[in-house]
Amino acid sequence: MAPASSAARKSPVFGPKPTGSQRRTIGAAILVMGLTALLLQVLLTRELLVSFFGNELCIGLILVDWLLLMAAGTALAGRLLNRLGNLQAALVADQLLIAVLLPFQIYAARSVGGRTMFPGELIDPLSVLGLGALVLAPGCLLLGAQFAFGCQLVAGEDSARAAANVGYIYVLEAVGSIVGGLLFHFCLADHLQTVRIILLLSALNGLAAMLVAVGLLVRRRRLAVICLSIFVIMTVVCALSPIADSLERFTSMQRWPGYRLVTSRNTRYGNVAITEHNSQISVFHDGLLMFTSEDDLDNEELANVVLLQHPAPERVLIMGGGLGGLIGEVLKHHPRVVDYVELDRQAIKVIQRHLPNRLSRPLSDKRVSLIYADALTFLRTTDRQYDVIISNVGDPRTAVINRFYTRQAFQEAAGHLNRQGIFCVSLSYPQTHLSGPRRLLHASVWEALRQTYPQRLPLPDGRIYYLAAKQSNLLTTDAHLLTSRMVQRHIQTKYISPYFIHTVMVPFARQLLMQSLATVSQTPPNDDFCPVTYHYLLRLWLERFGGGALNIQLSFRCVLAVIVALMALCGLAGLYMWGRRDKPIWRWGIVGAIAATGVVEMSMELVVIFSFQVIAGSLFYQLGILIALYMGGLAAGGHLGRYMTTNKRRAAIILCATLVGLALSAALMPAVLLWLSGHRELASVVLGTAAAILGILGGLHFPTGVAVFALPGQPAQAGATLYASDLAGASVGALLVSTIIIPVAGLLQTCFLVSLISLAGLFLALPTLARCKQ
Amino acid sequence: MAKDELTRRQWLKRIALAGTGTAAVFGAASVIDRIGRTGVSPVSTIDGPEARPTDTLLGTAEAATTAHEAMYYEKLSGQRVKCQVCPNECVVGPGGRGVCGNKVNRDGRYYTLVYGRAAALNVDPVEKKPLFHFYPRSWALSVGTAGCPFTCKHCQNWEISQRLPEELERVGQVLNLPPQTLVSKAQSHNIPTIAYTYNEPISFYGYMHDTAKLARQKGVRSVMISNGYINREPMIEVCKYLDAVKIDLKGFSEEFYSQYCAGRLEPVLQTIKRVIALGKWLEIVYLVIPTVNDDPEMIRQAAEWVLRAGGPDVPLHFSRFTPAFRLKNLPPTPYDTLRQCRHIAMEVGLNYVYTGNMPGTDIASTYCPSCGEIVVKRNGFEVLGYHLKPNGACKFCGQKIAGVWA
Repeated sequence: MAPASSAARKSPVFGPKPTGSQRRTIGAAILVMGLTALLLQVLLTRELLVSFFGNELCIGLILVDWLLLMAAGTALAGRLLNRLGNLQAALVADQLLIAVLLPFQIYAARSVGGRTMFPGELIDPLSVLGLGALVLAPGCLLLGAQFAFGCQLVAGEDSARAAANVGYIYVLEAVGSIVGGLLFHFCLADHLQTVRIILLLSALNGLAAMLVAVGLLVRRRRLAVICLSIFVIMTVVCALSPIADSLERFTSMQRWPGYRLVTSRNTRYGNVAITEHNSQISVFHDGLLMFTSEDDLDNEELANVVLLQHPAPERVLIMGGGLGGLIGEVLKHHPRVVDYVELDRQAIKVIQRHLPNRLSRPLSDKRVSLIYADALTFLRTTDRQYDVIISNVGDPRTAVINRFYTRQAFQEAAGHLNRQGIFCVSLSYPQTHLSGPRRLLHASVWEALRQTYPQRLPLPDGRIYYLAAKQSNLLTTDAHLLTSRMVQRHIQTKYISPYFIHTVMVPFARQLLMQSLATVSQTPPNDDFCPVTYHYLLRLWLERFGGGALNIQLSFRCVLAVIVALMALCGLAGLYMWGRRDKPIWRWGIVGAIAATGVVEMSMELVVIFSFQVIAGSLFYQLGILIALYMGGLAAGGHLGRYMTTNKRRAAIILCATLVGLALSAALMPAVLLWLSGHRELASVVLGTAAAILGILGGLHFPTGVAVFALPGQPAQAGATLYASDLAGASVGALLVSTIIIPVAGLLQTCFLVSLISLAGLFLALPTLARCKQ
Repeated sequence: MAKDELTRRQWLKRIALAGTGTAAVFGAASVIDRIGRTGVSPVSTIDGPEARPTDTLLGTAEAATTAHEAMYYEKLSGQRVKCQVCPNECVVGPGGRGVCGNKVNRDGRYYTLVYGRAAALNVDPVEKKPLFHFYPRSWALSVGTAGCPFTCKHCQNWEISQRLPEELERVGQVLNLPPQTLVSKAQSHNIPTIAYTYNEPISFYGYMHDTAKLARQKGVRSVMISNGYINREPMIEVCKYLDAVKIDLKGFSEEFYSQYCAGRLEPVLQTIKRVIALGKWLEIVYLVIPTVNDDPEMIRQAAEWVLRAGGPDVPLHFSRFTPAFRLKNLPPTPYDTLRQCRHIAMEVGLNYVYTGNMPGTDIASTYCPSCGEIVVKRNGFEVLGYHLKPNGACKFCGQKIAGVWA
C-alpha cells in the first residue's frame, strides 16, 4: 500500500472534494456502467450458452468468469489508481473502449464453441472457462476498472465521508443494474434482437463518455467531444437501420458452418435457431437440438408406446416437445381433445412459420389447443382431467427442466389423470446399458414415480419410456392386445408395426433395466426441494471429458464436513487475528468476511430464484421483478450503510450485525419455503420480500466494510479490494451452489449450509470489533 | 502489546470452545438433515408387473476371481510387453495399460480385465447389427465389455467403450459371463447367434476368441461387429470360429480417422480385404455424419474401393448419425443425404446398398440384381417379405443372392 501522503500527491485533479456537478457526472457514468454490466452479462451469458452447452455447470462457469474478471478489473485498476496522472481521461477512455468493444464481444461469443472451432463437438469445462474468459475479458476488465475509477474520483482527499462516497458509487452501480434488469425484462427481451441492443448500448456508453469528457476533462475536451459525437451518431444509425439486422444475421451464421441458417431469434426464454441441410429442417433451442423435420421414428414410437396402453384415450395432455410431429401421431389415435402446453410463445410462433406443412397442419386441427404457459403452473391452475399425460420436455439438464421430473410434478400430473389415466415421462438411454451416473439419474426418477403411482412400467428402446398409472393392472406388456388396439384404430405409420411392439415388449431389456436399478435402490427420489437428477446428468456430462475419476459420490454430510472444516479454519483465523489485532493482519479478516458475504448473497439469491421457480413456476416477468427487488434492496442497503457508518466502531458493529442477519435469514428460509409450499399463491409476495431483505443486508456490508477497511486517504483502493473480494466470493457461491450444493443437499439444507458460511464470515469479522474498540 | 498476546491456556480454551461449537453444528445439521428427509413419506405401492427380474438369462454381478492372460502379446526387456492384437501395438510398462484400457501389464505379463465380464448384454434381431444377408429374422445374444482401441467422438456406446473396467465394476454394472456360461445361455434360450458388439470386440479379443471357439463346438454361430482395427494374425485366428463379420468404415480419409476416431484408415481397409479373402460373410457400415464425412466424393471413393476389394456383392449400409458422446452439436443426418449416398454407391456398381435408421421399404429391402424384384422386403429391422429359395436364389428369376441364408 502506498503511504497516505503519496496518495494525496497523486490524487484527482479537481482537488480534495469534487463539486456537485462533477459528482453528478461521475454518478451518471457509473449508472450507465451498472446498466451496461447487467445487460452485457445477460446477453453474453445467453450467447455463450448457445455456443457451448446450456447446463448448470456451463452457466456457473460463465458466471465465475464474469465475476472474477470484474473483480480482476476492479482490483487491477485499484492498484493503478495512484499511478494514473489523469483519472478523468482514463474514465473517458475506459468508457469509450467499452462502447467500441461491445459489438466485437457479441461476434466473438458467436464464433467460439463447438460448432465453429471444433465442428459439432462439445467442449470440455476447462475450455468453457478459458474461452468464456477470453470473450468476456474486455468488457469485464473495463467495467471493473470503471468502478475503481469512479470510487477514486468521488472519494475526495482525506474526507471524513470518503467511505460513504465510495458507497455512493456502489449504490449507483446497483441502481444502474436495476434499470438494466427492468429494461431487459419488460422492454428489450421481447422486442429487440441482441445486436440492436448492443449497438444501442454502445451508443449510450459513447454518450456517457461524452458527458464525462464535457464535465471533467480540462484539456482536449473539444477533440474528445467531436470524436465521440461521430461515434455515437454512427452507432445509433447502425442500431436503427437494417444494418443491425444484417449484422445480427452475419454474426449468427458463424455458429452454423455448412448449414443454411433459416432464422435465428432471441426470445425472452432463449435462442431459437432453425437450420436447413439437404431438405431437413433442424430446430435448436439455446444451441441444443429440439427436433428435426425427420424425427418420424421417435414421434411414432413415443405416441404409440403410450397411447396404445389406454383402451380409449379421449383427452390427452402433451407437456412440451410436440412440434416435431408428436401431435400428428397422437391425433392418429382419435382423441377428442389434445392440449399442448409450451412455455415460449415467441419461439413457437417462429418455429411454426418455418415448419413443413405436414408438421404444422396438426396444430390447426380443431381438437388441438395450444396453451402458452409453464406446464406445471398450468397443471396447478387447471381443473381439466386427462386420459393420458405425456411429459416430453427433454432430459433434465438444468434445474428449471428438472422440475418436470420430481415427485411433486408426478403428483401434480396424477391429480389430473382420470381413473384409468396413464402418465409417461422418458429419459435418454444408450439402448444397452446404464452406466454409473446415468443409472443414478434413472433411479432417482424411477423412485419418484414409485412413490407416486401404484403401477409403473419401464419400456426401454430408443429412450426409456416410464409409464405410470393410478390403478394397478392397467399397464400391459401384452403385445397382442396392443397390436389389436393399433389395428382397431387404423393407425398408419412409417415405422411402428406389430413387429416393433413385439420387440419392445420382450421382457429381457426390462429385466436388465430393473436389475440395474436394483443395484442403486437407495437413490433418493428426485424432489422439488432436493433436485438430485440434474446433478447426475451433470456428472454424466463431465464423464464425456474423462471426469469419471473425479466422480465422487457426494452427500449432504460430505458438503457439511467441508463447510464445517472451513468454519473451523475461519474460527481459528479469527482467534489468531483477535490475538494480533494491533497488527495489519486483522484487515484480511474484513476481506474474508466480505468474500463470505459474497458467497452467501449469491447463494441465497439462487435459492430464492430456484424456490420461486419450484413453487410458482418459470414466470418471466415475476422473476424479473424478483431480481429487481433484490438489486433494489442492495441499493437501499448500500445507501443506508453510507449514513450509518459515521465511525469505524459503528461500521464494524453493523458489519458483524449484517453477517448475523444473513445467517439468521438463511436459517429461517427453510421454514418460509416449507410454509410457502402450502401457500403457493403467496410465493411472489413472500419471496419478493425475502429477496429485498437479503438485498438490504447485502448492500449494508459494502460501505461498512470499506469504512472499517480503508486506510487514511485510500478509500477508493479499499473499495476496489472489497468489491473484488465480494465478486470473487459470489463467483464461488454461484458455481458451487447451483451445481453441487442444491442438488446434493437440497434447497432446505442448502439454506442451513449457507447460514454456516455466514457464521464463518462472522468469525473473520469479529477481530475488527476488537480492533475498533481500541 | 504483551497484554494482548494470548496465553497458551487462553488459546487452548478457545480451541476447545470452537471444537464444542463445531460438534454442536454437526449435531444440529444431522437433525436438520433427518427432518428434511423424513418429510418424504413413501406412498404405499403395488409393484408393477416387471418390478422384479426373474429371467435366468441375466448373469450375476459377482466379482471376477482372476485376471485372464491376454492373447497375442510379446514380452520385451524390462518387464515391458508389446500388445499385438491391434495396430496400436501398445508397448506397456509394468503396471501400465494399453490404449484400450482393459489390459494391464503385471510383472511382465499382459492380462485382460474383461474376460467373461460383460458390461452390456441384450438380445437383438440380427438385422439390428446390421447384418441383412445373414440368417434374416434370427436373433443374436449381444455382448460387450469395457474398453476400445479407438476414441470416436460420436460413439453411441461411450459409457462402456471409454470406461475402465474397474469403473464399471465399481458401480455393479458388470455381469459375470464366462464363455461357457454365455454359450450355454444362448443354447438354453434357443438364440442361434452370439454377437460380439457394443464396444470394440478386438479389445476383448481373448474372451471373444474363446467364446466363439466354444460356440462353434456347441453349434452356436458367432458374429463380430467391429471397427476392423486388428492385426493380421489375430484376425486370421478368430475368423476360424466366426460366421460373419460387420466392419465399420467410419469415413474414407486418414484425416477423418485421425481427427474423429484417434485411429488410422489403412489397417481397417486391410482387415476388410482379409475377411473377404478368408471367405467370411462380410457387411460394411458407413455412418454418415452431416458436414463431417458426407462429402459425395468421399462416399464415391469409399464405394469404389469396396467394389474393387470385394466385388459388387458386399452389402454396404449407410447409417443415419444421431448426436452422441462429444459430437452432440450436430443434427441427425438428413434422409436426402442418405438417399444420395445410396444412389452414389449403386451408381458405382454395388448390388446391395442400404440406408439404416430411417423408415422406408425402398431403401432397406434387398433387390435381385438380375430381375430387380424385391427378394427380402424390410422396413427398418423388420422383415416384411421373403422371396428367396432355401439355397438363397431369387424366387422370381433364380439368380443367386449373395449371403448366408439358411
